Amino acid sequence: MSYQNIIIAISDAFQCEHLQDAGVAVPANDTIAAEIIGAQRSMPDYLRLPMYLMTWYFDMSGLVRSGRRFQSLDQEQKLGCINAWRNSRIGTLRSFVRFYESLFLLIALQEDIH
Amino acid sequence: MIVKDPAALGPVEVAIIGSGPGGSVVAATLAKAGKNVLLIEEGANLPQDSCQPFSFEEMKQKYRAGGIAAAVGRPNVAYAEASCVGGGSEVNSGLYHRAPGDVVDEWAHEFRVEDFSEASLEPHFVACEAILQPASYPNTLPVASQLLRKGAEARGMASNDVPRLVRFSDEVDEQGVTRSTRFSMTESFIPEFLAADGKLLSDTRVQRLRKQGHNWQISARWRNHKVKIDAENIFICAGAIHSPALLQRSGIRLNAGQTLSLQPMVKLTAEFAEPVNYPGMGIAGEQIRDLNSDCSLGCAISSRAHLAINLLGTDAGPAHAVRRQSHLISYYVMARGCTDGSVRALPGFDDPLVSYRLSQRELGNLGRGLKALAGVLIAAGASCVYTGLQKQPVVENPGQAEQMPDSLEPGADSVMTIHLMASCPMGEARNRTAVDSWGKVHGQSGLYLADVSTLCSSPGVNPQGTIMALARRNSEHFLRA
Repeated sequence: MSYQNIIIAISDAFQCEHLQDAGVAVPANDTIAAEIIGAQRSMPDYLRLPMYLMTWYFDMSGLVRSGRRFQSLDQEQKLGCINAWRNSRIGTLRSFVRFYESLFLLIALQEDIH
Repeated sequence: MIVKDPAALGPVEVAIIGSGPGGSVVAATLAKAGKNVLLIEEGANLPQDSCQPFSFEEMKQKYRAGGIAAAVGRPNVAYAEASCVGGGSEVNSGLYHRAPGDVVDEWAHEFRVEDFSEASLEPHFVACEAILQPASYPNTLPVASQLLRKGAEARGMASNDVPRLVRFSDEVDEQGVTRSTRFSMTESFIPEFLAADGKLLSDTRVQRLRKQGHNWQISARWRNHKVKIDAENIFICAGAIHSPALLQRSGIRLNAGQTLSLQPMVKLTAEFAEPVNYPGMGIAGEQIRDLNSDCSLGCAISSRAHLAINLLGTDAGPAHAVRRQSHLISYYVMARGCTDGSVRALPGFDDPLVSYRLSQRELGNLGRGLKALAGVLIAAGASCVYTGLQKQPVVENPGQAEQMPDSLEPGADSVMTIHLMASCPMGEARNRTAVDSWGKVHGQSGLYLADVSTLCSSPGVNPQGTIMALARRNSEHFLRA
């Protein structure tokens, strides 16, 4: 139950939600997760620690909704967790989802100069 | 000379901290005048072509914090800063403006900046332009520009191809648009600096400054080694966030970091029935100055990944960017910012805390700018425009564009910026400035600032041209003094 597993689960959920039917080849989820974790390591330190803590909290939020941690949920339940934060009235939770979505897309859809 | 071992460095006449457009111009000007100059840069010394422009790889190589940072506020404002030799000029689109005359007058009057007018800045703009030669597209405009111009003309608005700091090649792309490459600091002022016997030290993070007798001692970290460098004079050119943070860490706090400004930006994406986007489409420099919203409307990067991110929160979603990439182009609205932010060095943390509160004026300008831009793109023939707004997510006709809200909601999730400034404003108004009219830090001898932090407020246009002219002006004053 490592931090990397949470990021892989988040990446997997976004891939299913956004790109499953798009007909595009993307890197493997563990590759994307490694890039995301690398990017997090270089974030400003006043954002890095809160982001780590929120990511663990997000993983735990699956327990409340579905009785299991986010990383152990099926795709539909994962999407439910993501949507709960995405549509939250609390801006920080929305920003959390937006941060991971943007980073996932930036890495997954890298291409040659366009 | 590229410095390989900073431990072997003796005292220098001038140390410059930060090698972006401000630092590079100061370095070249002082080195060519015969000064013994050391240019210190936190990031790596990389050639301009070390990676693809606007790619994720470029973010990793040349941006601070991998390009991922945010000013805390409601909403949070995502921002990106360069961290490499050449600074922002190595990663930006190179759009070149002079500060507007009314802004120059405003700064001179409100901040009491001495000998500061369009006329007094003219020779400095001209000198920098002689080296960089900002240029517009020589022939055909990129499609994104053509469409923006077409829409602007239909709406009775003025639209211009803004000159850019690039070198055009002899080749054209599949649409007949002349290819170009950035003409950044590593292609211009840095080589001039090195040719004038300047010393360049990269990969070195300056932690604090201390006055020792007549000299300054710089405490820094070079590749995990602690180093100390003595300098008679220091120019801090580390940008709007790290210049005031360094002053604060060094115990110098007078008006440093209390007035951060930024130019907030939001994007939308237009879809056209015919193909408009293609691999290798050049950077489109077309801009509309919308006086009603005090905003610039222009063309954003429209790679697949950027389009997908811009479609987040719309019904179309990121997959649409993959499927319809060739029919989609993103555009931006950039507002003139207020000065409602701050930079605070926190004990025990490497990075300063950046906060910013978007004002009602900025939210209103961004909302009106988005509305104007959606109207322009519909007039240009867009079949629909994805705004990302909750109340009007898709616009398909002029009537719907008119119904867009007049103000962005305070909780908007997609506000970002690449222009941060005015955290250490210049002038003789001591109650609101950190440096004097020539960049000298109030109350300190031999300590100067020459970067975007010394602008008095947001100029409302891309600031690089103004930063370079100010840097040259302040360097020449230093030499005369």
